[in-house]
Amino acid sequence: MRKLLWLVGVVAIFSTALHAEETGLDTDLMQSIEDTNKSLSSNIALQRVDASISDANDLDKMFEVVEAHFVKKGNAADAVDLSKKSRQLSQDIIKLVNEKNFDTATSSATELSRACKSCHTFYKKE
Amino acid sequence: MASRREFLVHTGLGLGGAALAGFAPGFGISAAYASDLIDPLAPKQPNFPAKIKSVIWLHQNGAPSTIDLFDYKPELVKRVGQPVPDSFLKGIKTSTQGGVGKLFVAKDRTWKQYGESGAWFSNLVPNLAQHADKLTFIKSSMTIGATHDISILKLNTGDLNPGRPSLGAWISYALGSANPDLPPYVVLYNGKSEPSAGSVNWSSGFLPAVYQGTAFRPGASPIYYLDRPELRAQEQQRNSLDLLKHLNQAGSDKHPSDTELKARLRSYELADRMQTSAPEAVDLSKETDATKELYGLNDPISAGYGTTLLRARRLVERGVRFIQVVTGAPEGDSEVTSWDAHNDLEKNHGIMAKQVDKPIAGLLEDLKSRGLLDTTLVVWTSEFSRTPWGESGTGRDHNPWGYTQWLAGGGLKAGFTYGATDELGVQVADKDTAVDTYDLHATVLQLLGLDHLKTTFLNNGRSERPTVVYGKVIKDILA
Repeated sequence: MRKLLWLVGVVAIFSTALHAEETGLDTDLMQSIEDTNKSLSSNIALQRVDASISDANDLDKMFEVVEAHFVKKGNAADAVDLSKKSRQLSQDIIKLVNEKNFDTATSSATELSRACKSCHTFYKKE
Repeated sequence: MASRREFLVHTGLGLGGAALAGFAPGFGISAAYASDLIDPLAPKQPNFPAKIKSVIWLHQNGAPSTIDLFDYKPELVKRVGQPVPDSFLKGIKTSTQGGVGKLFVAKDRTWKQYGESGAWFSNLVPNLAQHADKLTFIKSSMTIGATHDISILKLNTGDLNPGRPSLGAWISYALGSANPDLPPYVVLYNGKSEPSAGSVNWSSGFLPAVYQGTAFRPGASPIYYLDRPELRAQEQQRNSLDLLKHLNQAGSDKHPSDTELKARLRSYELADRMQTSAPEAVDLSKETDATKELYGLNDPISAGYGTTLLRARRLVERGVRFIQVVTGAPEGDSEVTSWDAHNDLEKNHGIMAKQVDKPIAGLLEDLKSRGLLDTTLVVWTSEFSRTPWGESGTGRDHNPWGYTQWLAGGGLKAGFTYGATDELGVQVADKDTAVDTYDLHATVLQLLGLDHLKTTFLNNGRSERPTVVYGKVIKDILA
């Protein structure tokens, strides 16, 4: 039930986010990314394969929205690159977790968090 | 009369309540967990061999301007009085009252290089400069948040909101205590009041409360209510404590699986021992005059802070793992209470530097001469630093975007500098070398033999670690 609610929430966020390019990225989307990222970090540490893959998949989809936003915005090549990098890391994590390589998955998840911070330096509204 | 367990069950708290409390006595908990509950401060092995045994965390409260202490900026001197070029402000959001002012340099500031490392020190820190080759500078420090309380909280706990354990608490949790007669995590401060940012900065957060820092206040009696009340004779107190211990032990024997009682017994025993061990640890009467002079105890401005650092050295000798020292207000009739120099920086930093310079130099000298520096980590840190542009004409505003911290002690490349700020000291020059608070924490833990990614605690079903979801060990500074 919780998973279904999560899915509904993520879909709703995707829908609203796609219409929010003029006013910047939706803060709910950003919050969801942050929450899912923390969940991912925990699930990898606890070696929960299915939950980790689910979180990484959600992140991949959310970063796809972020990437599309910055492509449309224009003049934000670094943000586009960071979004692509975040997507790649999310996909890498799925592979690593499937291989039960949790140590490397943890490192990748940490790098993903740092990518978020780097983007925030220039693009996060206070 | 109902037993404790019967009471809990009948009131509906029962196993659920016990589970919420983190354990269910006698209900299938692992021996290791039970052992932790019996003695949560029992020494534990690190993940790999440690380089250090103790940390002295020198929090410079109020945010010193490191471009007035360690980070010489000749370009700033050249451009004094000019506006800040826009290129230096790219990517940051300033909030200086009155707007970003002209570039400011204190008129009496001079700079020299010291030691074989050639590290730059200003005329504000002549004693510390003599130890240039002991220090490992991180000149690409950065953080977020531009108000003191929030950034101090992040410096100590990794979060902008209360609720997370402080670094010292994580270390206590991961390593336990090396001395059963003293807390593994002690907080020291000088001045008349506790650090203004509050005890949330040495909190155990979601870790068990036993791991929180114990504040030792200035003066001969470091802990409130530790001393026996005057109305009570020593023999009376001894008899009361012995009876209490006897009754508790009888209860413990009757309920061998009640680990909460065992933990409480342990804390009473520790408190009992601390009545002797804590005052002894901070008693400087047996220190030589030469040592006291080394720490600046003969100068009223540095005496208070010097006393805390001498206490810190004594606590290191007694196996305390993490000693968090917060600068307080110097003695004397001055309105200077911290490094927060929004105006009159020259007066403020003149006094604050005088307060800490000789004591910290003395601490480094003393640790070295006693053979302790190789197994101790000294960290100069602050919640952020200060801008190169002036504020109020004579001060500097907050700068979280690029500043200097330093470390000294075991496991480090001494006489080394990592990273840099830009030519004016506004931001970190190369963002790939930026060192956030999480990275500093990860590095401190690494030196203690702890992998920050593997130091975890299960909190309400979520695995938590000291560095939240961040953190990178600064390998370039490690020997």
